[in-house]
Amino acid sequence: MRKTVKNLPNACKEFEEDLVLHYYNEGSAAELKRVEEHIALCAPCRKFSDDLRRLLPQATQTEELPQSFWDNYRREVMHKIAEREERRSWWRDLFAPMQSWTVPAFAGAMVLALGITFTLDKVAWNRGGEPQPLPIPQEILSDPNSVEFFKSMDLVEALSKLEEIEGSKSEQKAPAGAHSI
Amino acid sequence: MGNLKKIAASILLGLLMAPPVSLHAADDNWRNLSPREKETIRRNYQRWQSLPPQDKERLREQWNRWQNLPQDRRERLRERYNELQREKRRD
Repeated sequence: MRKTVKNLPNACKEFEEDLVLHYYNEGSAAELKRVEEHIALCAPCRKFSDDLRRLLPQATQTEELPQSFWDNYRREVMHKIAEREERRSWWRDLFAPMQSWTVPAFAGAMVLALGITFTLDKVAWNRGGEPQPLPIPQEILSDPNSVEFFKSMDLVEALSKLEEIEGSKSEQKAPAGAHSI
Repeated sequence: MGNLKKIAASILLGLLMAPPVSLHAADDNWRNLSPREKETIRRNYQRWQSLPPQDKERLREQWNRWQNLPQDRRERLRERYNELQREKRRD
């Protein structure tokens, strides 16, 4: 157990710090010499210095702890580590899948959700009395030019014929115009 | 490296989102047509499917020619076509 360190006797106020430094042999040679000369002449400071030599080693002595303390300490630390691991593992399990495949999986799920939304939207629209959508590919319907083509296909087929008729009508009009002139 | 990942993710997401957007555009195009136009398109598409390749090619050429005609000429020809259709129905 910890041994009690008796209070140090009073030394000269201005030498207290220097005496401690002297004990540790710290400071310049001149300073150490000055302190030694003072100790030789000053009894309280000499006593103070002697007590430092006697008491300081005791104060710095490490306390020897019994094995039971270390056993308890180890058990407690292990218990705390286990508790911490357990607390961390539940959210790790929760976010463990948030690894490399999470982003594409999330994107895939989003696309799937959008697909379902559009399909349901379409079904709901059809139920609203709209005629059943034709089996025309979406890429044709999404291209206004293709839509226009199928809309005007009859006319386009008859284009040459129409031009002929239009031409003959113009010719019929032209002589009439010439005649009037 | 982080920016590169963000760019790649954006491109991937854009590619994944493109088909639904185009489907929606197609739906919009279809919805904006009148029932008569829808019927015409449906009928012509089915007819187109059964056309021989040379007829398809000829139609494509006609279509290109039609598109390159001046607006007023196209309008006149359309009027003429509508007249003929009306006459045909009367007969």
